[in-house]
Order: sequence, then C-alpha cells, then structure tokens
Amino acid sequence: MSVLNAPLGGYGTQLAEGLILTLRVSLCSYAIGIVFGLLGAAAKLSRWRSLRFGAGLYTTLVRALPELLLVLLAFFLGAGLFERLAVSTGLALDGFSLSPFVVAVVALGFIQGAYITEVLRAAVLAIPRGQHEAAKALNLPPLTHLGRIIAPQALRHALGGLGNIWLNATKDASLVSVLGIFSDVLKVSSLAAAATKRYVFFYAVAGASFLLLTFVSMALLERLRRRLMPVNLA
Amino acid sequence: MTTSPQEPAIEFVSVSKSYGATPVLSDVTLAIAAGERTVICGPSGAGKSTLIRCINGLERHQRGTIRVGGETLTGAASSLRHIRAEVGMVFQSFNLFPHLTVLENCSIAPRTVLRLTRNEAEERAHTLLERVDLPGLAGRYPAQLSGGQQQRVAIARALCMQPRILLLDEPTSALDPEMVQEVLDTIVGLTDLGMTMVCVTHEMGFARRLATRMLFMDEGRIVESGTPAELFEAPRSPRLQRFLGRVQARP
Repeated sequence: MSVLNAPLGGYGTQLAEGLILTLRVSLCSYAIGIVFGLLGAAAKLSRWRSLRFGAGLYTTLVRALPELLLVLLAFFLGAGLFERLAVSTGLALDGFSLSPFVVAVVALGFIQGAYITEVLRAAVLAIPRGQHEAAKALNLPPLTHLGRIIAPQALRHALGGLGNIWLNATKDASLVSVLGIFSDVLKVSSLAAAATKRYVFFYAVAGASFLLLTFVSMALLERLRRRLMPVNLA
Repeated sequence: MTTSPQEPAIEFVSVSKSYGATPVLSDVTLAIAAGERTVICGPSGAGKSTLIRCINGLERHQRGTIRVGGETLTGAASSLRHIRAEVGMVFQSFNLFPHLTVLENCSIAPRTVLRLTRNEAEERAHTLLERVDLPGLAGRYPAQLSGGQQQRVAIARALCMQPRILLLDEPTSALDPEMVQEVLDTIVGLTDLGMTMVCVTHEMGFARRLATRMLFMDEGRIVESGTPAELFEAPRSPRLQRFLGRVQARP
C-alpha cells in the first residue's frame, strides 16, 4: 500500500485502509440485510395477518425515513436501549457495550433488509402459479419445492434488484463517516482534503474509489447472472 | 393404498364448489373405474378444469366427498400426499420447470419423492422420454423446445412417477395447431399402460380415439355421460346437441 503514498499526497495507506473499511461495512451490512430481507419476505408472504402487518410496518417505516436519520437513531437510541435490555435480562454483564462497527452494520443491514424484502417478495410473486401447481402435483416435499423450484427462479427474478441494493450498500457505507469514529474512505478523503487544501483532488479520489467498487461489483454480478442463466429462459 | 376391482379409482359424491356466489361445481356425483379413460367436454366455464383439479386437491371442494383410490381427499397434508402419489397431472400450459433441463424436470420428483438414485431416476426418465418420442433432448432446457415437445416432456415427467391415474387438463389448448396432433398421438399411445385417464379437451376427434367414456358438463353439472358413440351419435340433452352442432361445424 505504501507505493500509493507518494501519488496520494502521503494518504495512500489511510485511503486504502478506508476503502477496505468501506468494503467491510458494505459486505457485513449487506449480509445482514439479506437475513432481514429473507425474514421480511417470508413474513410478507405468510398466511398470518400479524406477520404480514409487522413486515409491512418495517418496510414502510424504513423506506420512509432518511437513512442518515436511521443510522443516527441506531447509534444514539437503539444501541443504548439494546445494551440496557441485554444487561437487565442478564444476557450480558454490567458495562456491556456494543462495538460501533456492529451497531453500524446492523443499522445499515436493517435498512437494506427493507428494500431486499420488497425485491424478494416481488421475485417470489413473479413465479407463475403453475410452477407451484406442478410441484404440488408431483408431490415434491416442501423443502424441495422451496429450494429447487421456487428459490432458484426467485433468485433470477431478484438478481437485478439485489445488485442495485448492493451498489447502494457500498454508498450507504459512507454514512458512518458522519459518526466520527470510522475512518472510511470518505472520511479519510475529507480529512486529507482539509489538511492539504486539495479538496478537488481528494474528493475525486473518494469518488474514484466508489466507482472502482461499482465496476468490480458489476463485473462480478454479470458473471453471477451468466452462471445462473445458462440459456435465456422463458 | 390398494384398489379392489369393484372400488372406483375416482369417486365424487355430491361435490359442490363455488367461487364466491358463483357455483362452479353443483352436486357432482361420479364414479370412474380403474383403467377407464374418461374425456370431459363442455363449453368454457362448465367446471371441467375445476373438476379435474379437485381430483388431486389443487382446488378444494367445499361440499361432498371425493375419494381417490379409496382414500378420502381432505385438506390434510397426509391425505394430499397419498392421493398425489397415485395421480399424475399434465397442465394446459405445461408448467415445466424452466431452470431445469428436460432430464432434471423428469428426474427431480422420482429422486426426491420416490428416493430413487440419480442413475435409476435418469434411466427411467430416458425410457419415458423415448416413449413420448423425444430421445436426445434430455440436456435441453424447456425454452429450447417447441410447445409440442414441451408438453410431451410434461407427459414424460408425470409418467416418471408411475401414477395409476393421469389427469390431463386441456393438454393441447396452448399449442400451435401444427403441434396438436403430435401431442394427441402421444396421449393415445399411452393407453396400453392401463392407467386411469381423465382428460379435459375440446378436440372431439381425439376424444373419440381416447375415451372409453365421455362426460358432458355444463354450468357445473354433469349433463350427460356415456360411451363416445352414445354421446356423439345419440345426444339426449338439447344442450349437448347444441354443443356438438357448434364444435363439429368447425372447419
């Protein structure tokens, strides 16, 4: 990384570490988002009204509120409440405190989960009823029905939407820079810009970093798409 | 589940069903003997598809009793499982699994339901694909086949479960005209398997070739039942006479 130091005004190492942190926040929050999304979609498609209602509340609230507000709420309200709850129920010892990284990725994952819920729900609903009927008529066990018939087809429908949410996740990861405790790529850039007065240069570097993440992501997503769709399926 | 010779393969006793206030099956009573090949005809909205879909529980009836192979059809998972193990189905729109190859379409149920090994399931699939005259297409995906080929794969897929009863719900209605015949010939070619067959169709010539018995339905009721000769040559009800007049007048 030190080879980058000279051309990047002495900030090469920090910027590289910032980019890695951004990537870590993106990946972890996205993975958590997938879990929330699977649960949310299952609840939305459930036959139980209360589950559908709860999931509806979740996706409506999260998609309505600004993401920055949700991240701030998580840090200044959610984390404290959770810590107190964990201590009072005896699940954690006195003085238990969540790491900021965990709070950040759970908060961002919670936000992405709402969007992923909608993408997965729509993907499952896009599968023609005849697919379910054929699986039932063949007596396929529920796990085979879900895992071999529904999930692979839903994934194909969801891939575009999930890719979009991933690209958003890389950008949302920069929201943590406002908290002052993370040296993500945007934070490092703004510090470097302020210290050297080379604003255009360092913000351009920040932009180029996100562009790099996006290009790599798009290439990987395209490979995944080709792999999942050996032929153009009707 | 064993079917004694005198016990009907499929039995409906006063079965009724409605969608909201619209009745689709009204007090249908029916017994189909094992090995019989029944063709159901009638105008659209007569309840033909609903009747056939009630046999394997894809639609739930609201009143009356349905027995398949002696087992009473309830909404319970075990009842559905037992009955579906005996009943294969061919759909109007094929409903092949588009992300699986022809071979996988045919072998997935034998492997996961009957617990055959991959080799056994694939061998069976190849045999039945040959039977529906589709050798050499096992590695293709459904979207790479013509409509007629897809429907014949769907027939092979159903046969791979070795059902005693085969339901065919308008198997040629979604096909281009030039592909109808190959599918009809395939179905007629299955008669030597001795399966009980129930087929909804608008193809009257095919009905004559396939059926040992015909049902004419209208407005959710079975209006007339008999051999194809009886229904075609000596229709008793004015409604069947009108229906035959219309379908046979077609060019």
